[in-house]
Amino acid sequence: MSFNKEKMVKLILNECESIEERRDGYRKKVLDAIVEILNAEREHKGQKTNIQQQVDDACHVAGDFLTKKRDIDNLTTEVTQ
Amino acid sequence: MKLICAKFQNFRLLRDLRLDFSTRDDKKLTVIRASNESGKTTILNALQWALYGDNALPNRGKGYRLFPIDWNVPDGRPIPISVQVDFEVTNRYRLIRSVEETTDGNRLNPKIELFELSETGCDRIKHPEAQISRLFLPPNLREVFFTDGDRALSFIESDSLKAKREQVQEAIRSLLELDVIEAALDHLKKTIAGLNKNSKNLASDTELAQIATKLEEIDKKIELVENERDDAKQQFDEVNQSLTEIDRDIEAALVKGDQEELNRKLKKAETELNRIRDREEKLASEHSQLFRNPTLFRDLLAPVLELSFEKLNELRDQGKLPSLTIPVLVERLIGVTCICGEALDKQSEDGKRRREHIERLITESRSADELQKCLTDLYYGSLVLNPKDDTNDKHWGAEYKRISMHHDELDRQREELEKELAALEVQLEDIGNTDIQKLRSTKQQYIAQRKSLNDTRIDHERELERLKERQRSLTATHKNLINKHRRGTRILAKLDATRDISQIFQNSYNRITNEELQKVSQLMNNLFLEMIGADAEQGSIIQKAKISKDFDILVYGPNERALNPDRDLNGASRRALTLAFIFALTQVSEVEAPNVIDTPLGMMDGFVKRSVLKTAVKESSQLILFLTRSEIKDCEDIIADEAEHVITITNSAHYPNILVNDPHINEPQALRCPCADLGECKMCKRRTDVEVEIQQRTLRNLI
Repeated sequence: MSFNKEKMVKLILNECESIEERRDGYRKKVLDAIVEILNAEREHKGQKTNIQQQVDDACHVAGDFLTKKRDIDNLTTEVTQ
Repeated sequence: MKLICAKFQNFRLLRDLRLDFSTRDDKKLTVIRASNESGKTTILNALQWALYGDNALPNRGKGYRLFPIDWNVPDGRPIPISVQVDFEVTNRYRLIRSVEETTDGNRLNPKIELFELSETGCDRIKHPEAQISRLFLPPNLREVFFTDGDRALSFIESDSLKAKREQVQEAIRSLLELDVIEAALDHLKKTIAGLNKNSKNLASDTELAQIATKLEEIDKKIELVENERDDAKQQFDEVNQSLTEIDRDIEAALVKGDQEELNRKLKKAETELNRIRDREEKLASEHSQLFRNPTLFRDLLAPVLELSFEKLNELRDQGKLPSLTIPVLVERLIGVTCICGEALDKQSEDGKRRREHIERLITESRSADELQKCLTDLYYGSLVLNPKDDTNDKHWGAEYKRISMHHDELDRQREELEKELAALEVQLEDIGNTDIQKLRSTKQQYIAQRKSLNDTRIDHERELERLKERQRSLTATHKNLINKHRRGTRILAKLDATRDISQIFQNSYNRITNEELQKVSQLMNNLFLEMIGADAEQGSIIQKAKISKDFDILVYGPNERALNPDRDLNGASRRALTLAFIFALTQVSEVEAPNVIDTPLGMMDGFVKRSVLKTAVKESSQLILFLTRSEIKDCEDIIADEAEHVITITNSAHYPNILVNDPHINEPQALRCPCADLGECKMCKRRTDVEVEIQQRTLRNLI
């Protein structure tokens, strides 16, 4: 890492602890999305990119993960019932 | 990131130069020793040009010539210029920036090449521009890590508080990546808005669509109010800045003098002067009155009068004074009987005849008596001057003394007032056209404007609070509705994730602006006090330095008294404060990057110089210093301990005035000599000041 990315990751990791672990592995997915957004923003600073699309995509990946987990839970509940 | 080496071709004075930089963790320091006009600043500019391009040159490269000034190309061919930098960021890379420049300043064929170096050779990297921004420090941090000793002072030394604040803010924001987080937050806001809009398109549920529409509206409204609030805040800051500037103007004008106050003093002094002049006039009248006092004449003329009195008394004793003839005759004419007893009635002929006789006598006596009459008048008239007759007269001496003393006193007062008036007039002239009253009036307008803007800002904040509360409530309802809606669960999950991500960014941002800024401030204070050897407990003049929430670098003296870094700190302390700020920022942000500093130890000597150098070495991950010989003086032992490379650069054009030996090079060129330490070799051997002086004198004599 050439820049202070480690510092930022440390900070964000710390803050990740404060959000609700909505499903197993959710925080990890959120962290991945954050790192992706940070990298995209840094790259966008140097060279203009379609940043909004990249941010949307990163969030949607985390959202889709949550949807799948919720669907599995719902299915499990239905099967159990 | 670490710089490994650099090669310069035809970049101004750097016609052909290679520099190797220290990369060892235990020997972080590289010293480039060079006198004035030997290419120190040119090397700094060339390195920045290689890494960041034309924008990193002075004036963004406009009008900045790259080729050597004495370059002579008869055929007008462009001059090839290049800078090669090898650096390490996990892997090793080589960057080569080149351009051709004509002598009239046109740049042709700009080129950047980037290679990844390995044991076996090197691989060319495609699209080097994109990779460079990923590998290097961002351009807005350039001035933090590539520091011109004088220019870097702009963090604390600037005419405008706003400019200083922006410099500090920009450095902090960039190093702590606040700008990146802000951009991310902005984009996340748009992602949330997009998801809300999508939920509206689920359509089947009218209520959901309505809520989604409301949420969309409220999002837009929030954005609008936030923009208005930010505008108001910006205007507030600008007015605040104007207020600070006008306060400074007033302060500066007051140093010269308050025009209004001076005019008041001038008027008062003029009134007082007029009063004194009236009193002087009155006193002059009393003075002249004094000369009408007979006793004054009597005393002044005493010796002469004494003789006169003697003579007059003598005449009186002889019966010649007073002259009684005419009065006696006149008296007789009034009566009816003459002295001899004859009648003088006007009815009788004899009486008439006698009267005519007497009248004739009077007429005849009158001319003879003229002198006697004068003497008589003089006698009686001068009786008042008789010294024996002065019992009732107030003595003129006391009066004269009183008037003289009063006159002297008034004279002194008048002189003082005239001096005061002259001084006030000079002061008023100095003030010129600065109208403090007008400045104060403008200040009042700014205060009113600021208050109004603050009120607007508070209103916006309250409105935002209300809107966000409404947004929270609508979001909860929205969430419930989507939950019920099978097709909406996906959108809901995305919204949950995006809001969580946004929340994390927001919390990180708040933490950085509070805790991390505090850390930078604290570390800057420690480093600064250490560098200048100030101990608050020992009662030093400089007690502490800090960075305010508004990104101002503040310095305090005893009793929390604010010191102005521009005016109250000496040159050495100002440089130390700037370096302390840069190192603190680098430390807290945990950035690993080289600190390349041109003439950091200027204006310093003794303890502070050594202390700044030691701290700089301690706090940097790689330190490259451009130092003059006078900066190196007294720090030789530190350099010997800490530097892996000490490079001496000499300007060939300095022969014969400064250099002892002829380098046998026709054009001016920055030369690297074989010296690997702080010694001297044949190439860099310099004349002492005395020798230079003798040589110049000899030359002058020859001429």
